[in-house]
Amino acid sequence: MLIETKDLTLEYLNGKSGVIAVNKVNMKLPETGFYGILGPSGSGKTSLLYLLSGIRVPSGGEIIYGGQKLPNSADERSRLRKREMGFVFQYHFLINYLSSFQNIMVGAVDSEGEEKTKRLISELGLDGLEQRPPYKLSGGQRQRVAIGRAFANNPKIVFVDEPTASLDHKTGRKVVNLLRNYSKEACVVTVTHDKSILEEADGVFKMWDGELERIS
Amino acid sequence: MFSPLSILTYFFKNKRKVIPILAIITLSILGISVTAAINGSMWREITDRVWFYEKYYDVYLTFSSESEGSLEEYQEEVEQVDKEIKELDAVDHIIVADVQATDLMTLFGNEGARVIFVGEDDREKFVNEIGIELDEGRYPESADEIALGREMLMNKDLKVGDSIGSKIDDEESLSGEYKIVGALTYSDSKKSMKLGIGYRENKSDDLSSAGLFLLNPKDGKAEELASALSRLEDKYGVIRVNTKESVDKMIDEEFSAVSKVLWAINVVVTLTITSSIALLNVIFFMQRANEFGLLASLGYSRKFIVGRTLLESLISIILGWGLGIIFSEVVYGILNSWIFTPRGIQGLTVLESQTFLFTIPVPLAVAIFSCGTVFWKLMRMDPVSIIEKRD
Repeated sequence: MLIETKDLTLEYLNGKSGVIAVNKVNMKLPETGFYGILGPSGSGKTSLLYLLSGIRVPSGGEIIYGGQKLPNSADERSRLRKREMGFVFQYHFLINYLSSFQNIMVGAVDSEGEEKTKRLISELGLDGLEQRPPYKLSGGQRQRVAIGRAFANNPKIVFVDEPTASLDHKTGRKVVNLLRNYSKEACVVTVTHDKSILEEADGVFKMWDGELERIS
Repeated sequence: MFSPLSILTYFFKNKRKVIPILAIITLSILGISVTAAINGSMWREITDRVWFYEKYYDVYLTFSSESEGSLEEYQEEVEQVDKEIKELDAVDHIIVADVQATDLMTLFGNEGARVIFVGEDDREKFVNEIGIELDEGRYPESADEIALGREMLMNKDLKVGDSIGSKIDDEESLSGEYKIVGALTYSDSKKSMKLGIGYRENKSDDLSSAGLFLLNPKDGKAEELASALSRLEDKYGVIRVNTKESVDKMIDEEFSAVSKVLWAINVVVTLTITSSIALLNVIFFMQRANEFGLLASLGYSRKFIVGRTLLESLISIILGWGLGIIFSEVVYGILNSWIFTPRGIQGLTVLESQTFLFTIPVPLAVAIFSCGTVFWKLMRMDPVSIIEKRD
């Protein structure tokens, strides 16, 4: 298994009351495959991604990654994330003053980053758009640049937050197909409230009020 | 190609943000250095004028040698002082001179510059000791001839061959009429020559018949001579003494008030500029909050993000400061060639230690305020709230 959680919990204060965003989640994900987490807004699925990627620190339970506990130190978690993980955020968060090419390069970690970026540009159908800044790209093109950035470091696992939220159906399908292709090399975990994009998933989880259940 | 997160990439891709900051710092360096540069010009004017006190101390009677009644009244005292001065062990040689002054236009109004009339026998010793050279013409050979400093001639719009004196110009303080036969410079070309040399016919070496005694101290005896002269000044009320120390003290007193005003201006301008640039930096930082949140979420360490952002600020501040120094020097160069040099006035420059020091608080304070604000904001940044688009 690439990643495994044991009673993973995230609780935080919202005003004076405590909120349990992730409640004792147990899950296992292998080295490759396309996995989906379904759930309505506020069910805790994005929080779960932040926990799995180490962006957030759990308030209970543990995460085993590559056979070892995810490090406690923020710096070590950052290093691991940069080296071995990718993230496609719901809002693409591309850097506006950089070109598409440079935005993808931001995700790269080694000297092969430039070559890898060239390959990704071609694979993602972004040829000819390399020098364009994000504000001159369509929503689908921006999403593909964000995907490119997530895969630029040859990640072992990629977390994708609502990949089709701001796209039309046709563009959304294209994006899902891309992720599906990349899941042959890495574990792709996507959270969504759109059931249709998980039709060909290798595994689907359902999340409700912070609790996770495998449904296929 | 530069790395996407290199400082140079940021500068090249954000010219609209970087150029205003560079421009503000550049102009502020010019603005803040103007007062100090003018002060520096005034300082050099004065120090050049009193340069010869490094070599000669002067002693003169407190009443005019022409008012015979006064002289007779103090004749005995004057003769005693004359005798004691000539017996001073710390004196290498004495030059007996007459002195007059001519007005020069300076940044701080009209100021008198000395014309020292020395006998032919003493002149060579005097000019060699002070380091005076003939730039044009010759030294005066009769009482109606005079040689003036090159910058004096420029200031008064005169040339060798012209005449000067109260007889031909009512407003001229140099009494009589003299033909200008030579232009003088200092062997140290940086000094502005504001001294004139005339011809003294009177062969008497009595203090009562001379306007001035110029006393050259023996090597290593300058302090001893200054003390001895000070004692004589206290003992006999008929003489006044100028030594290197007394002249320096007088200049320091005059300039300390100016210096305080300049520092006050410096503080106000620095604070105004600093707060405006710091505010601009905070605005730019807020505009880039998404970028910093994204980088932290992708796994870039806080140390990397803070270091990169602080380096961006520091480089733009140092660059702005450097450009400010260059720009100021260019502007001063133009002003000098238009206004100062043609009038023989010491020009403005930012590359003088005091003026240069005046420009340093700007980049220093901007760096502290800007980097401090950015550092504080970055250390408190929560990447999750940024990527979730929460406030």
